[in-house]
Amino acid sequence: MHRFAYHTAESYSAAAKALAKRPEAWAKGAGLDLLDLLKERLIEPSDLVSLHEVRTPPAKGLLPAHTTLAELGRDEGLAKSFPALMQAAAEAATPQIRNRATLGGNLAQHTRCPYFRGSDFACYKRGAPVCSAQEQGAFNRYHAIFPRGGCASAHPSNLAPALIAGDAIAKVVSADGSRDVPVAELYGDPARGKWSDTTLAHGELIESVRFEPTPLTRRSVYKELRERQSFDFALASVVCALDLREGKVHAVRIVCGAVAPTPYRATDAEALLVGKGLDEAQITKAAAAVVAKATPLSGNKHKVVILKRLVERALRELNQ
Amino acid sequence: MSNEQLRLGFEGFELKAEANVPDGAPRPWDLDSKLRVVGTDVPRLDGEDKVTGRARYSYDQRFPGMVYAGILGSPHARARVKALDTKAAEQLAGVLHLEPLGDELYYAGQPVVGVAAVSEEVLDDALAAIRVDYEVLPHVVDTDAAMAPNAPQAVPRRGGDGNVVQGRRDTSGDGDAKVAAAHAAADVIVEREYRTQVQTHSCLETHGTVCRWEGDQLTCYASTQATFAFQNTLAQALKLRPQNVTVITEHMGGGFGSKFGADAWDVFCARAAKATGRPCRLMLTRKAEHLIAGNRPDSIQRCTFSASKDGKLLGAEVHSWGTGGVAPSASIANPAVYAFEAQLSDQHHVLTNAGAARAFRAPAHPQGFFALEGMIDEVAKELGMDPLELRRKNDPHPVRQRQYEIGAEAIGWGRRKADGAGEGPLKRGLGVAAARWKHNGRPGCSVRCRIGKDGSVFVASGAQDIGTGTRTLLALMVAEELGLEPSAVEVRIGHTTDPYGHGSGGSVTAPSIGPVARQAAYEVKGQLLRAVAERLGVEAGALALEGGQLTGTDTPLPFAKACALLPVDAIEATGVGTRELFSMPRFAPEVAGVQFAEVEVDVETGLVRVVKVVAVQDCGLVADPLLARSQINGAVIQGVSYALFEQRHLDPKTGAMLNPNLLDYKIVGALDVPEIVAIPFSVANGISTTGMSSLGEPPAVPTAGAIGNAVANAIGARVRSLPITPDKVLAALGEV
Repeated sequence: MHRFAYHTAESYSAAAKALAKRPEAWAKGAGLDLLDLLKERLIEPSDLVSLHEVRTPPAKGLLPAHTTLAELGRDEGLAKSFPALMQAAAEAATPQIRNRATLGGNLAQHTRCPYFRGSDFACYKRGAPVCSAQEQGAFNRYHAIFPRGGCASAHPSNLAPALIAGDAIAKVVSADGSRDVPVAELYGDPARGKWSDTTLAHGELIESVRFEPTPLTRRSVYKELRERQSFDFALASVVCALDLREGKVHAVRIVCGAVAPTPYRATDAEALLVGKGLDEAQITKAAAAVVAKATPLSGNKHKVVILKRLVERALRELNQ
Repeated sequence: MSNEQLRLGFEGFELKAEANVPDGAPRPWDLDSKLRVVGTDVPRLDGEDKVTGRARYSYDQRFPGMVYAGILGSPHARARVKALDTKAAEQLAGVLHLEPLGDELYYAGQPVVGVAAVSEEVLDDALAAIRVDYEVLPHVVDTDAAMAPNAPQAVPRRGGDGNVVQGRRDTSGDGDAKVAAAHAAADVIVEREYRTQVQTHSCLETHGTVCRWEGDQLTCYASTQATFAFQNTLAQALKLRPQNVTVITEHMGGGFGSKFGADAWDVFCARAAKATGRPCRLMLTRKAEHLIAGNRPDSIQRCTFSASKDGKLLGAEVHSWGTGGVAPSASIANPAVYAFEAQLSDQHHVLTNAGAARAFRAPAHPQGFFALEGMIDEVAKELGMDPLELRRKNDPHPVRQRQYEIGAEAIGWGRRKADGAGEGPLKRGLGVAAARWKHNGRPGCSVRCRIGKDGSVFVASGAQDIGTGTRTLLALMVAEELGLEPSAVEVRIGHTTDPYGHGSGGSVTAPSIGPVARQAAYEVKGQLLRAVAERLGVEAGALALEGGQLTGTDTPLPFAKACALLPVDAIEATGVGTRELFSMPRFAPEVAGVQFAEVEVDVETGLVRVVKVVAVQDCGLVADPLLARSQINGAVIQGVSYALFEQRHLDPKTGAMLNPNLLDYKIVGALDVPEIVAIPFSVANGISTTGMSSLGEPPAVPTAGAIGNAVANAIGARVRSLPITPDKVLAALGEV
């Protein structure tokens, strides 16, 4: 087993400082993502800084990064203020995993792409010149259907699309202090050798996430399709949030998961809906617009159909 | 030898048969037998041990000073070791033993080096520190690609080139010409291609053993479904006499056909234990379990079935190809069951650079029956006939004929709608498929039964429990014969120092050791009654054991009091599975079963949910309906998993496995397990003195076929490829 020093942090900023001093250190929350990488010997950190013992005092409107998916998934308050977030948490993984998995970990986790996760394979994210999933004959049933540049991985987070739809802000701490980052800006295009999908620098940690309950978050829904009903990642997911005023769409958010290397906001489809009434024809048009720019790989054309259906269902449900 | 009239069969279909019962054997159980505990729901005797963690599996064995062994597997699908540098690994503190295991490598995961170290952590470091210089050679892992004329030779073969090896070629009657004639005379001919995937056994307890030497005596705590085969193969590999190897398998975490003899890694484990002078444990990693410990071959089945317009099945012609990796073992059971006028099965094994297939719960059957049963439905559709009616018209088995009625009633076959009918995106469908298996009880096992002067009863068999409930079965047989409760019988299984039992393959265990256990109890009962009769001065023939008592005396004696009259400390008998004991007349030539599935398919997303499965399964006389239902449930769950989820994915470029874990290799979870109505269908079968037959495998045969048919009924389009995933459903519907 690869040897590392293990540190227990008492606060996120203490953890950030510990990480800043050690360029080869990794933060560990529940460890669900990290331990898989360690066991496959994909990473060999010098130090692990555990966030598991960190507890931040509860504050209204603030979700600490250590909040578990189980806690989010049964939060009565969220059921009213942001149902999509609650649903996204409740649909993830298994009860055991939801009891451990955290909000911070869910946002910062690495892709489940098997070429990334397997030491036997070349991976663009891990520094290879090409993306194995885009090679001829590759297994890419679960991969991205939207333009992907060098990497065709699918973003695994259930929570990110919801938080982006809710205009949530992450508080990011580092050794130097803290900064606010819209969750949407936590994610950037994949680059060769850049393991993570987040824009966070080494030593930066998500301390908490906050959102303002708005008409959008209150009227929001999460839809996902997965092959297996437990212990599986989504083939495609979508969060729709709708602000209907006087029969017209005042504002709308359509953010998709598992279809691009980062959460994918369908701004074209949003624009098409704003200012108009919402009926079946508009819903169909919007769903078609969501996938209009899709360029599926050899093995995942079905994801285009599935995403379109999920968007239709989500909008229909919100329009009831 | 005495002649006994037996009443065999089931209610509504009985026949009388004369049995030659060997001297000293009890009257065979039949429809007239008044059984007290056999045929009642008896909970698994070791169930509590298993759910509380008290049961100790190979994985749980820990000994002072024990070392941990593991193997470095090839990262390449085809390679040759040019140079091996183990210096850094050997210099690590705590690395005690290291040896090369192979240098001509034909599949990813194939053992290259074995290591033993003081801890799992050091072992892991050592495996990572080994440097291997591989000459990477061309490989092929895909079945279709391997069949191409210019494909790399996956593995050298005797007597030919190319990766396609002709397998069984069975023709009926006049062979090919007769099938052609049957087709020519037909009103309806259906020609289709079906495909199934590679499924790995994914035993919850991975393969492996813990080895301990005491002098020249080796004890192996092996995770095996064949204690004596393990003993024998390990002894052979180590050039020992079998008596020098004791195998102990009191509990094992799943085998499904993949755990018979000792594997190369077990032999290495024994050698490492010897070399280090310490107990040594080697359990495969999950990744290795997927790669090198067996799988069910995939299949491509090109089927041509024909029928007359009144629904008589005429010709069945099947040409098949499949890969068992480096092993040419991709047989399929198709055609089967139905009374075709003529049939032809022309099978081919395709060699690829992947781990070798092994027997997997009803080998050849689930894949064969997915195509066979799909074809029957497709013929029915062409004929405009109800698929159940077509089956009933062409199925010669009397038991299945009754099972179709029971199953149809339980699933509500009358609700079945036209294919694809119904409003809205969620479509329901019903499907049916048949199961068959051989009566696989066979001679050759022994079981020892001992009664102590204190009234204790002990029964021992060296056979193992693959999970079906061997302990409970032995206790039941003995308890029935001695008039006791099963809980009063102490059972030891899985020690090769006890009497021989067959490996658990082919669903042989219960029907093979059951009659022998009964025989042992019957014989020791005779000894007890004779001894007591002598002591009390009565006729032994007047005495009996029932309800925990000795009866036939003036006042019944409690069993323990009767035993106290024994002149010796214990009496003992070994039941021997003679050929005569298994030569009773039989009711039907095969084990029969049917399954009905109800599915709900979301035609917009392609998602299939199995709502309900009704499984009506014959296994001869049902010894314990509770455990029988448990086996049926397990088979159906595994069948759902095979039908919808499981698939080994190999990357064509590297030949490495993309999903060598239990997240990405998808096994059905609790939320996808349907309502299962398991109906053990008891048939007084004859065959042996207990009338029991095989159960572990037959209910694993039809599930995917029934689900495939239900999906076609639901959506009005057919998915001819397993697993039935959303992409395939959408493709069948023309959505992608």
